[in-house]
Amino acid sequence: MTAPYGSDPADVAFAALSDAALRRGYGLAVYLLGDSLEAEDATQEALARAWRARRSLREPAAFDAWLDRILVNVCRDRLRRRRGIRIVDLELGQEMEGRDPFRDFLAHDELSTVLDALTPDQRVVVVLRFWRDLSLEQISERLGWPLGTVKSRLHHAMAAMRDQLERDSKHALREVVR
Amino acid sequence: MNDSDMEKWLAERFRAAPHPEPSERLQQAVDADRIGASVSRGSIGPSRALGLFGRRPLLAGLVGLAATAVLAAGLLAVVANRPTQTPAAPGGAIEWQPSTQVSGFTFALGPYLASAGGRLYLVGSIAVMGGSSATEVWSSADGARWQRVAESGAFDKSGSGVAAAGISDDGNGGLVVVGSIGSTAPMAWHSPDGRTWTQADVGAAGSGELKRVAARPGAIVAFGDWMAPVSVGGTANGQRANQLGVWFSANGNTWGQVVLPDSVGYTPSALTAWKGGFAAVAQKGTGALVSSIWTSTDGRTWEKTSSDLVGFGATAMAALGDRVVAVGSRLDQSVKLGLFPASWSSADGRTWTESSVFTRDPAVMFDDVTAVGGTLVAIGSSHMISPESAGDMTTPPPTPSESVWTSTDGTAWRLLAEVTSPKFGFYLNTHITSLGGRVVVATQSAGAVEVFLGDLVP
Repeated sequence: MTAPYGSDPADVAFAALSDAALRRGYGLAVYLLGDSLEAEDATQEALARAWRARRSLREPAAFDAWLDRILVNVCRDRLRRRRGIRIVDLELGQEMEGRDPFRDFLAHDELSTVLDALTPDQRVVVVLRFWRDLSLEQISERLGWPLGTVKSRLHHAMAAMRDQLERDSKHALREVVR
Repeated sequence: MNDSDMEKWLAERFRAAPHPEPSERLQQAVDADRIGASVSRGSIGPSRALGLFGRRPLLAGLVGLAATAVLAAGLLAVVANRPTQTPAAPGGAIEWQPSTQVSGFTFALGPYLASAGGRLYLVGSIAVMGGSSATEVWSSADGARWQRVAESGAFDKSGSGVAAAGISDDGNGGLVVVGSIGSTAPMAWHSPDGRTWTQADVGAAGSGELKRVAARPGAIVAFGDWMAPVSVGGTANGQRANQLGVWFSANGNTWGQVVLPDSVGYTPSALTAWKGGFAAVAQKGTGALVSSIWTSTDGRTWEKTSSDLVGFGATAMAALGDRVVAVGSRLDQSVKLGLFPASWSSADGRTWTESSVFTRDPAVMFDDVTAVGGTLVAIGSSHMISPESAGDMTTPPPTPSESVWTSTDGTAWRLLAEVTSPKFGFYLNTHITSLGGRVVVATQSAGAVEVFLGDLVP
């Protein structure tokens, strides 16, 4: 005889915050996953998880950090499951390509290439540090990782990206010489 | 390239990169995931939203604001008796069987339960990518073996997306489901058997929402809210406001509608049919917990009780013999977390008596209630979220602790022993009904609907 949610003002408020966070969250998911279609799924999943867990959020001021954490966890799970293989729905991918300008960027930009050289956790740190512009302390706090772990992951990420850039430049040089 | 150069390179690259824009399709999908809240994007701005946040989750802040008003109000003008508290029973009074998994889907709305014609029915809606929703009905003769008897096509041939909000018997062996099509058109569906459904437009498209449904022989009533003209002393004052609405029908196919008197700013909480007709309870949107009750003998003409239930938030209603009972929670300043399960009951719809209820856990609310023969069975859970876990997503939100109570008079409640209670799961998606003297609880667990059957033990 009861129904869930009803029109609880807290739910309305939560929905408004979620809507406001959609663009920001989707952007983060795109850079974390390097795939705009999968980023849509991950964003939807994260917002659905947040909705189900909305009663656990006490402070609205903590919403952004809270949602980031959910989204990062969703994306990390997806990156780990992917294990280096990106599965693309060809039919849907072709359909989307024409109306997703970001897809072209992901496919061809050097930034995207170096990000692909990172482990999931390294990628999370790099994107939060340089795209989201968070300090290492903020990343540590937001993800619940020790500060030393964040620093270590960033350090190894920098090395991996540098190696990737050098490999790319050598490859480009060989192509020119050939 | 050293680390510093690498950092500069990354910062420049990210600065120059385009900002990915979410598609409309994604927004629609997110909306669909929240269809249970009937919340549409942009209905409230973020700045206003901040002030409304946290009303429910942790009561500590709420109590500070509301308890003073509660106590100052003189604790309940309608009360005839002092609250009755019954300690926890040492033995179990319900024998639960192992649960059964029903649907392989995660319902965004439901599962809602009803029994009609000697069978159990369960309805729920699934959010579908693209902003739509799909509704299905499952049926069982015994609560242990379930069969899907209807899907969305049975409700809506256009595929616009049906969202169910409740199910009830129709008072005559059939069934009624209420909800909406496309999120904006309130609808009712009537069925003789749960398989074939006839859609009825109840009116108030775009401005009304059906949230509860109940029936007795010859009368079906749906309860919700409605943006309707405001009437003062029987005369429209030219303004429109969100008010409580009741939709009524004799056969489930043609419906009338009425605005409940003095109901501006209320949120529907619960509805039930009872010997005296129908009773509906709603919560005043004032921030403090204040509820009011409306009663009707025929579902068409409604009267508001003279006094508010101050400090009480209702979640469900049921009838037991001559009495009608509303269950929920009440605020109380005398305990740390300030929340007790509580119920109000009445034999005439006018004089209401409060009972507070013994509980072993803090911040417990009644979540749902049903009559099983001559006994009320209520389920509840702790809605407390610890401050330590707020915002921490490395661990899931704490599982609410479940409790089960019984009452043979609607006023004194007996808390059953904890060891006998199954884990029902998240309180928002757990509902109770009865079939042939058995207790039936349906809940949304991970990726499936789970049904628990229990037998009352004398």
